[in-house]
Amino acid sequence: MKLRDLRTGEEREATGLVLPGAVAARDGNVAWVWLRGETYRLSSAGVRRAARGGEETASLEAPMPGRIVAVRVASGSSVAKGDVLVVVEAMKMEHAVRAPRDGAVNRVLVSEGQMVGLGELLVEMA
Amino acid sequence: MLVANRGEIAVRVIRACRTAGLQAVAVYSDADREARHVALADATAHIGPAPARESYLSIPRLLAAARETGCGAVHPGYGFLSENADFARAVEKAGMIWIGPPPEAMEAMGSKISAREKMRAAGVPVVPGALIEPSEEHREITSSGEEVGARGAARRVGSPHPATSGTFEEIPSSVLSLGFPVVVKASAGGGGKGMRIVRDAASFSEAMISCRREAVAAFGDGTVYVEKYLSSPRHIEVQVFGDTHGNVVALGERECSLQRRHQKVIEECPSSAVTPELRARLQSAACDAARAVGYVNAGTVEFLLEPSGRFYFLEMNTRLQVEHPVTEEAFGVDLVALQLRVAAGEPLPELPSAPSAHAIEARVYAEDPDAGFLPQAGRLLAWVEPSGPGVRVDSGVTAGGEVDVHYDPLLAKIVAKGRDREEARKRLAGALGETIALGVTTNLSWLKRLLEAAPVVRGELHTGLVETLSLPALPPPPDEVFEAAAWVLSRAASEPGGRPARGALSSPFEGRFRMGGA
Repeated sequence: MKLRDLRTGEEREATGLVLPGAVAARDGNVAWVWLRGETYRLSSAGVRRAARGGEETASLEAPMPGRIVAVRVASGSSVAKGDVLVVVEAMKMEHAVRAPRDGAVNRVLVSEGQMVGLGELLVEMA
Repeated sequence: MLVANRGEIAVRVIRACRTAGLQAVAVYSDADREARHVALADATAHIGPAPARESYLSIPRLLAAARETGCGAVHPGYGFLSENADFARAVEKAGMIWIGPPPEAMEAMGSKISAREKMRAAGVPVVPGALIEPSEEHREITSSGEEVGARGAARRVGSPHPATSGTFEEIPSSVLSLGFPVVVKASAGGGGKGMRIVRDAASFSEAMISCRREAVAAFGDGTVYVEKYLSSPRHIEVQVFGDTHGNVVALGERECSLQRRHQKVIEECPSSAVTPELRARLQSAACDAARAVGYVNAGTVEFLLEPSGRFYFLEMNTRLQVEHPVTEEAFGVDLVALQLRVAAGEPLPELPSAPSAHAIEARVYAEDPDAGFLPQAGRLLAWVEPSGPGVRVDSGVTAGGEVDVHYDPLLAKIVAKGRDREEARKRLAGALGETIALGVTTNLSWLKRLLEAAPVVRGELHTGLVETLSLPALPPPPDEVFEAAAWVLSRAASEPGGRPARGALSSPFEGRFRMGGA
């Protein structure tokens, strides 16, 4: 089976040998593995990498589950790289989803007040 | 006693009730039916749906729960309504004992502005700062295009997130006179909610608006306070305790300089920067602060300490603090038990005058350090807590439990005690390495690397340190990890050893592998 480490993107073949010391759990297509104090997430290679965000994420997907507190663009808006598109809030912390490049907004899929899940598509850019 | 909270602090208070011979009543929302604090209580009361506003923040529902279960006292924990004077008054009006300070003291310290004035009057040093006058508050446009005033207080009811845009056309002169950088923060707040460092005039407007929105969401009060930003200070706080017989004592300091997003992640007692002479000065200032507002019960006076040894009053938290266990471990006291005794009218007992051990606490959060510490949610497929000499775990979760998006993502506090700082630090790093959390991304590995960073090992801390450190990257997974993943992914979900039963802790000694599946 070909597997991908979801943090580094490293891919490797593995057959499922039972080796001592690891603790593993499965959540759908994702394997969680604890080994000697570190925790890893892997998936079968080919499964799309889960959406991840950062303070200045380039992703147009929800970086965390939460509530949409502001939508700053509409369909057809033209945006510059770094413009705030949508603000998501969870646990009282706000996170701005910004335009990864200059361009136009094709579609806005969320509205203010709406709850969104991790990785849910928020905005489509042309 | 009604425990008006959830998670690890509810568990902590329930334990104190047992020691004191009191029956503990847990409250729970729809999301917490299977939570650990509910399972550990002597009785339970359902208080509403998952959103905190309709459950853990609802005064009428909490009071009804207390009445229905025949409670004689209410402990608010920290967060939620713990610093809400209206709740304290309502509890007392209902004939129950409030395990906390008098509502008047909460109000005096609840607003950062009035607290600063009181402290200045009491001779406690404060950081230069400015309040934005209401007339200078920004105007903003609602989504319907209607222009509205933006007084936080006026927006308290039913409209937590009205602001979609807005600007400060002019920066108030009171702010300009402080000089940049400044810190913008929620006047009603604690815990770093809404706080932002503004380095230049150009970014002031956006910071104010975001701060206000977070302040309204978190506290229902959008008043904002701007203060001069001190460079490289330590966050040093003093645990104080007052009783109803006029005694106020201090129980040493806690160093909480290791923060991310202005929220504490590692705390310790004592601080490596505090000499006995400085401790005496800090404790004296903290007791002055507490006396100035007629303080009773447990409280914390926070200071910023400059490298020069000068310190400034930051704020007073009128409640039990998240990081109270480091004081408990270093001084050998039970602060929650003391809270109960003081609330019952007893005088404070003789307490140790200096710490007899070193204790360090790490907060284990469901968050992704690789992604700006974004909160994470999901089901904990495996959860194994560390143990051993000098290790204490205050946690509110179990294997199979759900980490809910509605609440604070704190999973557990791991506290290590040692004869000296280095022993405590090594024990804590070891304990973090023993902890197993699968199914939800946590900061466990990041905390461990932070504890090994050279300035942290040396105890050379300041509140901006975490942002400037570049921690070593994790190595790529070894082959065994790929093998374990292949093994667990190739097993059908129906096979034995599938997802652990909710609430059941699986033993690490069941076999070579343990697994869960969905």
